[in-house]
Amino acid sequence: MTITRRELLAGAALLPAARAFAWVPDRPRPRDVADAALLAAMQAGAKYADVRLVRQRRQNLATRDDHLTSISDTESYGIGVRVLKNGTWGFAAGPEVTARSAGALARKAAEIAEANAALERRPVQLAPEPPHEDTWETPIEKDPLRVPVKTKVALLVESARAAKAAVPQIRAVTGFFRLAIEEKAFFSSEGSAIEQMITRTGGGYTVTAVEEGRGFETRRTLLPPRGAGFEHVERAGLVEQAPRIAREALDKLRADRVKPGPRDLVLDPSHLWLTIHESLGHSTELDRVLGYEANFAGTSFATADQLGKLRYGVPLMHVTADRVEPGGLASCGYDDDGVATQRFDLIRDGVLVAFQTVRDQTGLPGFGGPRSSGCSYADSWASVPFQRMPNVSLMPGKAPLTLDEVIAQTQDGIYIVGEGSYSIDHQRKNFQFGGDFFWEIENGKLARPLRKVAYQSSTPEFWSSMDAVCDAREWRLYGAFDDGKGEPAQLNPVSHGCPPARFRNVRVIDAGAVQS
Amino acid sequence: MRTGAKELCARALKAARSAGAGEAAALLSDRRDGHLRFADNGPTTSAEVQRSTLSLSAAIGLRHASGSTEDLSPSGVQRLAEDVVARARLAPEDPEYVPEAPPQTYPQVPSYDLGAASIDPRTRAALVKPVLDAAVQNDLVAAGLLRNDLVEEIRLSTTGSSGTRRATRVELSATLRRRDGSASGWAGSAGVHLSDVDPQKIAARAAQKATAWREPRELPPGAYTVVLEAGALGALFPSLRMSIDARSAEEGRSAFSAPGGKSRVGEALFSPVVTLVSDPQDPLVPGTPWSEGGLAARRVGYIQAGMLRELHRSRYWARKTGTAPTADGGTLRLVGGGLSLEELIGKVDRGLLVTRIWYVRMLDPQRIGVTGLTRDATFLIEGGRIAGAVKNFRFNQSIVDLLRDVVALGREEAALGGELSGGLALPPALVKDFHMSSVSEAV
Repeated sequence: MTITRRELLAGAALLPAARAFAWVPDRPRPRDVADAALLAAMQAGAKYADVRLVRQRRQNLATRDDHLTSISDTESYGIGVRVLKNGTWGFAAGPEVTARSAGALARKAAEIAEANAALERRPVQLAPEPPHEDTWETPIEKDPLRVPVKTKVALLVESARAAKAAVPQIRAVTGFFRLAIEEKAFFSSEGSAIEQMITRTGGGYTVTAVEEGRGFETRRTLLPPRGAGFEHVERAGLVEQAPRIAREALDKLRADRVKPGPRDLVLDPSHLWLTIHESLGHSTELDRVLGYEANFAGTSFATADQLGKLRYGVPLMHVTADRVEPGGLASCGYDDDGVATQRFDLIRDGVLVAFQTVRDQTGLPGFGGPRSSGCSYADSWASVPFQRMPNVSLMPGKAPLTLDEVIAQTQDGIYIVGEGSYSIDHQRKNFQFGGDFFWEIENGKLARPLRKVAYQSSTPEFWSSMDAVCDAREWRLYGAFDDGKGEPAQLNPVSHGCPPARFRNVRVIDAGAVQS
Repeated sequence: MRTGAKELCARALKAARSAGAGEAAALLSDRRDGHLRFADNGPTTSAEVQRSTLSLSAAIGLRHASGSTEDLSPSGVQRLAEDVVARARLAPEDPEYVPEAPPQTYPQVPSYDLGAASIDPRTRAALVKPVLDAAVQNDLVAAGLLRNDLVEEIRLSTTGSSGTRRATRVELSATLRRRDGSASGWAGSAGVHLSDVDPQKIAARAAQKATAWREPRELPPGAYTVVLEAGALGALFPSLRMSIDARSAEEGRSAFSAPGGKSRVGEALFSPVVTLVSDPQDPLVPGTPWSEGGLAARRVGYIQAGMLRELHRSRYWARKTGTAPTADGGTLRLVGGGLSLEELIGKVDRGLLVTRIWYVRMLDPQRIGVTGLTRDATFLIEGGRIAGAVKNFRFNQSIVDLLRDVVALGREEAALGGELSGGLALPPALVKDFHMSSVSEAV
């Protein structure tokens, strides 16, 4: 069902009472505040300006074993004004959401742009985007901030009890929920007026098994954070899976350490998403490619001149980017440049075909089209929007293939589940990943658990070793709340979908022998 | 501090009491942050941001909750207090809850500089210009960041504690790369004072590295003697910080666990040149005057001449084990040995100079084994001198072993250049047997 902005502003009759929009009755209307900022920016000589009013409400809750250790609810509300003057950006933000303050912020942003204009070598140009007047919200069933604290605590405490009852060696169970609602209103000097409400839900727990003489090992739940309501948590079966998670922690602690050497790897979606994120998601960001992140997050082995030519991997590799996938953490209606979100191919038949882009990259090498791909994001009203990763996903294979069949077709390998240690170089090539749980595969069967497994490879070598990709029945969406990038650093929520896939002859190391 | 800040906190505490809180603590934080980011030898993003946040924690017996708001109007403060107390009332009892500390005398922290607090857009542009000019003069491409932060805070509690702090921080870092992408050099510095950043010096150092890192040769993985610049060493320290915890050690869940529910405190685990302290009044990296639960922050010696002397002890774990909480101010200093970087290099027959380390992640918590990569410019040292450029490496290294294998230390500086900068003062270090695992082609 589409809700028009007019209907929404008319009293949010279609929304539950708690889901008020960024504007609330005792505060000025966003439109009035934004108009004051846009007018002041134009009077100060801006060529373009935009205004974001953002209200963020978050609840972080943590438990240990049978009790709550912390609960914190935060609310943040403010205004950020971005001005393009003399070909240079300026940005100013503050917590006072009034027309008077908005005007002052616009003038400050113009002053900043003016101060930096003398340093400018290439005046900023914006890719065209039609003005949008629209609303968008994450479809949810249960507002995560309205679910009683006791219900949330009970889920984690019951999980801890179930884990400890099943396995006495479980020494600690730490649980958490992270729940966030981001409401934002975007207005631009080009006429856009967009209001969005984005809901994100995540949580889970970690069990630690301890045995004297063996040390300790941990095992985590596999509840991916989602652009969803609390119904996502309730359907996950946290309590039901606790005994198995506990047993696997002990199995892991008692398992043999892996024998280093080249092995075939079958990677579960709960693990492979992070490898996709680090090696494919980041290497296809155009700002990295052009050196804009060189001082911090790094650049990319993929260069602009290789667009359409660079072979990332085997022909069955098809990778998309989107901000429209249902449940995706990066999914929304419009990015923070006011660009309508899209789905597009990054890698087709194993070859790089596009970079992720934002509006101010137009005319730069690698931009790739007349329009931005909608990848702008700012993590609060106080942050400057810049290029952030959309949901980047490996598409399922076209031939029918299940996880069980891939394992059955593997003679000597390792099946890796969940996230572990992860590290990749600043050009996104040399990487090393651990996992949360490891099964040795022998003659097509899961033979025994393993411990201290990590693998090393480089991006093109790894993706060229992929020889099996399961079909759509096995495709799953995982992700993370906190992808860090930029200076000052900002955090971007992003999802990655994939099916299980197999990779041949990957260098496996014993992570317990740190000189490996 | 803004006018009426103390009254605002007092109003929040009073409202919390009226709503039924047994005790409460309020923290008002006013921030003013500015930055100028640059790339491709020009500005990219630039901002000034003001934020004011009121945080409130409240407890009713063993039930507690916290929250924060940026709405500092009387109704906003009242709403925060009522919401926090209402959530505390609904929360289950926490057997580990420790009440707010009694009235404390907080240390004076040397964390403010008027020059740093007065930086405006034109000052930022003037500070960045020498870096961009140096890049153009050397036919290099610059990317980097100048940022300046001012924070003013007041903390009040219903037990009668009252403290304020005012802190500035300035940071400038730059990466200069060759146009063809074949070399990269990084330099940066940070501190409380405007004078802690010297754009000419930073630009010259980054340019010198980018220019010298020519045609790097590939060396085999293996154990190398390394000189780690301060920032490179600093990138390894967050994993240590997470591990120096008494509870996890005494519960058998840490690298510092000993059999029988004990820890390894009292053992000479590290090189005798290693001394690690946390001091809220450290002039290089001043901490916060208060610690957990409003305790006054104090100087804590974690490692003394190679011996593990203390692990971080929360108030709950201290109460349970009948000891005192550590209450540090959130910073760490590895005490230096006074040598210059050149003198450290001069002590190496054959080894590597590592100028920057990146993407460090825990690999094996049982030994604080971490993985990560060298970055930007790595050099071969032969006969006490730089003998050429080498390709970067991935390493897998135990931090316990690294601190055991430190041979000599240089002069401390506020560490910068890793993913988690701030709060660390470290010297460059000469370390033997640093384990390089594979070659990284990244430039």
